[in-house]
Amino acid sequence: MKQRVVITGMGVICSAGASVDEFDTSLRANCSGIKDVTLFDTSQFAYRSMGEIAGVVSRYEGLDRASELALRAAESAVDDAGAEEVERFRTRTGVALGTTCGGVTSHELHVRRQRAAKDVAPECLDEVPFHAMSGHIARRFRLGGPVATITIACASGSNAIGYASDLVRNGKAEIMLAGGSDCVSAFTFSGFTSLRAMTRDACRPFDKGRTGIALGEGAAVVVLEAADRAIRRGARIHAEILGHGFCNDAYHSTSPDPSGRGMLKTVHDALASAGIGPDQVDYINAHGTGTTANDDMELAAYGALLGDRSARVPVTSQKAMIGHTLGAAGAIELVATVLALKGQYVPATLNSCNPPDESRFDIVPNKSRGARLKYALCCNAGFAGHNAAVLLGRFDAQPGNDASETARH
Amino acid sequence: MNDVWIDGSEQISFLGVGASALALANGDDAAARWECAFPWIGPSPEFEFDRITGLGESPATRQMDGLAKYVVACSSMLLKSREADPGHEADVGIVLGSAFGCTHSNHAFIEELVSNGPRRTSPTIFRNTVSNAAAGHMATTFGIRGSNTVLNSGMVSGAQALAYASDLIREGRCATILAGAVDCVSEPIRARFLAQSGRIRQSRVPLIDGACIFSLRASQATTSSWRVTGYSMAFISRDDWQSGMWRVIDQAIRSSGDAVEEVDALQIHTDFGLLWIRTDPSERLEDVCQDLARDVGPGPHVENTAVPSTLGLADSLRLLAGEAASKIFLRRITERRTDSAKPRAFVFVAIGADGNAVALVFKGIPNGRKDA
Repeated sequence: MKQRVVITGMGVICSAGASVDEFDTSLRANCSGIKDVTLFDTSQFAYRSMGEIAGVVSRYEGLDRASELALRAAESAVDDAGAEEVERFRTRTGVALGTTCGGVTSHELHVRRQRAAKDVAPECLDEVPFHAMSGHIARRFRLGGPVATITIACASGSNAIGYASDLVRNGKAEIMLAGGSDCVSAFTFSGFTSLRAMTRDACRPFDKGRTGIALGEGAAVVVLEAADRAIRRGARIHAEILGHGFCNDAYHSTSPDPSGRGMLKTVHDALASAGIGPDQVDYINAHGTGTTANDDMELAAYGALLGDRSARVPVTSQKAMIGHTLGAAGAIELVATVLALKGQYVPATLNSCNPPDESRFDIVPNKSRGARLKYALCCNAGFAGHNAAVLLGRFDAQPGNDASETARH
Repeated sequence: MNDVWIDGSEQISFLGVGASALALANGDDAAARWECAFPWIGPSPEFEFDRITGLGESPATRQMDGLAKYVVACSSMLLKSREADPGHEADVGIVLGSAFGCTHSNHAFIEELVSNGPRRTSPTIFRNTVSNAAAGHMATTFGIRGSNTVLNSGMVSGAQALAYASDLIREGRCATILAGAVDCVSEPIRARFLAQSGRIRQSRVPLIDGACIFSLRASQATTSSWRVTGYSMAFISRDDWQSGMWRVIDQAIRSSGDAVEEVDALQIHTDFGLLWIRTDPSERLEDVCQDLARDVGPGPHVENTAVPSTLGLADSLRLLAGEAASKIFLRRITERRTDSAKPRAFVFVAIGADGNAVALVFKGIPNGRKDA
């Protein structure tokens, strides 16, 4: 029998907050975490800012920074859900993480050490494969359930959460830790510069004057379990994962299909898997990178989805606040969407002074605001044409159950 | 809920090009080639991308890296051989598994970055520094617009891809899915493999490049198909190796709705496989599992690509169906049955170097008749 899947724990670390509470405060107060880079030399780049997490002191020797961030987010999420519960059911608890770059920082270090004719530390090479970070989390919590790493570029985090929700819904796991993690390095800075995708002033999602992305780093992990068991154990339920979709627009290796057809199918699949109609969607947390190609594609898709409701359904992006966190974007922005559902507010799209076609879309420029939200979509798009969307809802317990978080807000 | 049928498979590896190469391969020759090639063996010289795909030197193919070329060529053969119609493009999906994903393109980009500086790197290489680039090239080349994802979970990635693809078909998200494994390793992965091999003298299977892709569909295409009836996934610790192995197998069989007694074949596969085929009706599967798990051992194992275990699965499905097979990845097969009946159910377990495990349950059709 199919299970309803709920979120009972959340952990996040990004430039706009090292905890869920800090992140919530930044979202409500419209605070950006983007500042000058200190992690590596940016003197050769035109743009030198990003969503860097300050003061990360390594707790785990030899770990890639992306794994370190993933572990911290996982620890916070498990604490939030109840560490005893995860420990008790650890043989039926798994992990699914999304990442774009994985251990590329360790890979770069390996090459630089080789060039310098130094011995290469074997543990540095162990951080290179993408699945290293999921393995670290599985071993940290001694998990015995499914362990997987999803890599569909910038849609990895949301796809990993969708995948994990399928495993819980189908009874393949009792509890899943799911999310995404990525860190920024000279590798990504150089790569996006080579593609001329980096902004030269500031990231301005959906703004008429947008010029490109600002990079960011971070991780977010959520704890998923069946609604019945969460209610039974009296867990605090943050939100319900109602459905998800993921597909490829089969258009180009880096440019999205400008018609938005791929994203539209993805969102339709997410809604269909939940039995929810487009007319019930109250909010879309968009990918909104600040590039012309991505933002135009998304608005085409959401315009087709929402029709004459386009002006009434907020469509926002967090990229100007936290930067583009690549494989972590879907997970961090999903946490933002859950916080919006819980707190009944819509986070703002920062730096957007000239929204496109204001009569058609409500991008909530620069200032968050209160709203009545029941169903929200979190959407992401990645290189190579991949899209992913997760449909979230405020949790309504079955009649007679009063453990619903709905009653507390 | 839909049934999930295997409609065919194709492969590109050192064994040659196409599923038929598995039938023609000679185990002794291959072992000798492994020894010479160690620590890495690429595809056979028969792998000629342009000849297989007919795509020529288009701008799209110029942007493909080795990983994409393996999987596009493999899928091209599969689509041609099965006469699959990608016309229902939104119903066709792609689920790829790769142990190391785009690390070879990452390596090429890092080499440029370190040599030339951050302002002189190639956007063409950077486009391939996402592990889903190969799946994207597949989608674009064949116009496949359905569910599409990539798993980078180490050696078990191909088995995980097949497991997830089976769920997507069972739930009606896709009518057909191309799913399987692809890998193209780079210098740091070879260096890591050599370092591991120096410490662990368990296997002389080199790192294997290539692709092995299955076509899964919701409707039966041929009378000799296998069905994917269930699966389970688990992370098995060394302390709990034998009981953990049984747990993942037992859960997979339960998920398939089959009885343990119906399982007539079991394979446990790291970078090599051990295959048991029932000869004695009274043999208990749990006892067999304990024996195989003990023989494979809890490791540590050397981490290969996702290709050997996926090729090993394709080969065993041929063997158990009574077709010619290479048996190249099988270190041991228990007594061969003398009759030609297919097993009622076959459990295949892929195990990663880190203890990550995927158990898949397949059900055959006895003697070409449609299963009841």
